[in-house]
Amino acid sequence: MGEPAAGSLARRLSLELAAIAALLSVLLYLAVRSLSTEAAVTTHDGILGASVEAIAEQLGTDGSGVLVDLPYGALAMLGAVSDDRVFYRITTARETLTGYDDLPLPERLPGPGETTFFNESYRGSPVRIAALSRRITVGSGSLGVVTLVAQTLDGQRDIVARVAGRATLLGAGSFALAGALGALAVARAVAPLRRVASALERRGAQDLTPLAEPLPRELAPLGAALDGFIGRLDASLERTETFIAEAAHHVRTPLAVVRTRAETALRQSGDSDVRATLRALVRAVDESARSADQLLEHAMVTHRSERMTRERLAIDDLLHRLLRSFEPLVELRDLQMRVTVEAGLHTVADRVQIETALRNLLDNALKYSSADSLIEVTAHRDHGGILISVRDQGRGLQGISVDRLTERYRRGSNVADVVGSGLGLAIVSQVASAHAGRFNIGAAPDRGTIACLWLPAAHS
Amino acid sequence: MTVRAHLLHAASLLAAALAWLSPGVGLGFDIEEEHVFPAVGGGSRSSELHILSTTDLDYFEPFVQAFQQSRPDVSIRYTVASSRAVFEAVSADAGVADVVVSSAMDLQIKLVNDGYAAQHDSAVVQSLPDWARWRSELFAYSLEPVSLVVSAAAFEGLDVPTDRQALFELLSAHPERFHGRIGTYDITRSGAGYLFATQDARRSETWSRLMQRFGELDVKLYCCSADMLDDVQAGRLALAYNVVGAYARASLGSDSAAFIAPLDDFTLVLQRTVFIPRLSRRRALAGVFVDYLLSDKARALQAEIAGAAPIDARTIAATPRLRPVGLGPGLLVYLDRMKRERFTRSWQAAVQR
Repeated sequence: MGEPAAGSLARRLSLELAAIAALLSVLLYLAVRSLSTEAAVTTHDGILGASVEAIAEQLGTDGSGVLVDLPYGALAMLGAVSDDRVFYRITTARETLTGYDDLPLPERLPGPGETTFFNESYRGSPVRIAALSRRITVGSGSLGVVTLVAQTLDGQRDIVARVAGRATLLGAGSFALAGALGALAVARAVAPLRRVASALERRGAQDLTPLAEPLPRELAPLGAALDGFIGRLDASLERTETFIAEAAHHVRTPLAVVRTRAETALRQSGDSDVRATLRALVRAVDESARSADQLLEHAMVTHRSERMTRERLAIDDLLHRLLRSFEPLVELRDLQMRVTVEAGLHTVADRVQIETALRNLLDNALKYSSADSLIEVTAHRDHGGILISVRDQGRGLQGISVDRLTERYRRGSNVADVVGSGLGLAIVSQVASAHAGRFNIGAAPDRGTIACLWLPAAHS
Repeated sequence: MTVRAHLLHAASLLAAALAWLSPGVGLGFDIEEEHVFPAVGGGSRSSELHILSTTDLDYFEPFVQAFQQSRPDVSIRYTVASSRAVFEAVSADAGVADVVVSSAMDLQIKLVNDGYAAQHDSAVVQSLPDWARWRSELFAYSLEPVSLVVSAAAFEGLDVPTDRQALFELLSAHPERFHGRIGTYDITRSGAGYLFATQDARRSETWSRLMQRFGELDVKLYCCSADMLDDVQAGRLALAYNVVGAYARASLGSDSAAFIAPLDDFTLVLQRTVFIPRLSRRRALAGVFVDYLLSDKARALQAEIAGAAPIDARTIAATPRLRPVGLGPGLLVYLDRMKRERFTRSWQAAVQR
């Protein structure tokens, strides 16, 4: 896969959700603020209105003029609500009867019995003014009297500021909550994608079965495309492996014929030059046959990786049976073999593959051991799995890094005299990875080589 | 220093000396007394704080001196004037003082309401109860009950009344004993008397009948509490109604010629208040002084002077009969010209037959 140039789906979703949350939070803040301001103004007006009415109710006359008897409560009630400054004025069209005679009148005087509210600036402070008109009968006529009560707006502003503070908290809180929930939702939405990605990542190199993950409808096309791709890859690999197997088979049969003929010729020939040539020929044929064998084995292992038949295997049983088949060779080469296998070790694996891997390891150990040396095979519990090691006292590894040894056709620089294809360790490595196991090979403590194959243990 | 700087320095010293020698010049209102307390730390870099007050110098001097102990760099000019003169001076809005101290709560409220005060916020101010401050501008530094003081001799053999109704009934039952021997404020001459009368009227139905009875018994009207107290102690008055300063008089007591008779229906509590005028040139320093005046230290001093612990918010809370006259726009009502005329007329009708 290339660079994620198209950006992150999750980030884009998160950002868009956050933007929506922010917008909604701002709207919430504005709504709470405007509602509370309106409520504060309405409440304030109610009290101002009550105050102005209380004063206007007490307006009377002594026959020649208007009498004002300011009720204590009219101004005290305003003091009960806030510490705001209070002004009042009672005036006729001609003169101010009492109070602050410069308190501004409304632009249009209210009709009789009506109260109007307006904002003004008075003595350097913004004030809210309630104005009430009343007609008072004085002597034979009647007189229009306007009562004004004003209050500064500090208290109202305090309330609005306090509510605005709360609204800010509310907005921020809902933004944070929506943001967090949005992030959670995004994480859940992209989870199937992550699951597919990690399933693909976890899967062994040879596992070419279709995706087992259940996918949401939106991702089904992607899943189908992936499955199709995997299928094509599988078919292609199978064709290649079949080809290799057949090629190896086709090569081996004629090689067997060549070898038989060469040996017959060797037995019959007396010329030492010819005999040497024939021996070299037999050796070369052996090498080729061995290569062909391993190619076949490799193809088989690869092939089996895709459709493994897993079964529960007893390690001690497996190892002892395998070692018995090596006994003649061990004796032939005057080697000693020491086997230590912990009892009761089990793994769930493909028998043929595990046998092939172990055979390759033993084969290597035998091939590179000199006479009278010791081969040690052990199997024991390790890190929740089973560690099988094969150790020889042979020439060890030279001229190649441990990593590269498990690549195909790689061999050390000190083994040209021994027949080998360079496929053996690649096969072991492949078996290990097909079983979610591990394989490594390295120099043994004093001399020789130690190869370790770790396999997961079966659940008991 | 250059010659010019020397001259300037000399000129400023001369100006300071002149200012000190001619107190009150240029203030443009009638003052009763004035005194300058020079900075105790001496030095030429002192700053002057001007206090305009209705409280006598004798009473206030210990507070000024105690304040100067903590601020030896401050010199204090203390001007005493009537509450009306203080009101006029501040409302002329000419930057006349740095701190205004007055017992006329209503006038103080009006000055603050009309925008002549500066805001002052501090931990001390925050600790005041709601009724003892208004708008972070006006603060009560001293609480004083408004009391009934009676002559022990005049009440010999009588139950001392414990509320206004009992007083009214007592006066009705023994007119001969009290005739011409009742004293109270003349509300036409005393702002404090007017404030107490309006607050009484607001709280009590009995009050107007009581005034009526006072009138019938030929009440004597006074300008000032001190005169009333003197006359009660001398036996010229049987009782003085609505007196302030009684608690500060050590010579009043249960075994002396005159004593305070607590009224249980309610006892008004006058709040002496302080604010910093908007045009104060030393607002920060004024704030420090106000905080001092409201502090526990000043209260302790007050207790020392009075010989008894002054009443405070805790006393008020624990004593139901004590009703502080609240700081708020309600006090503006009785300053209304028409209201005042009307109230005074009906009071006069009751008291002066």
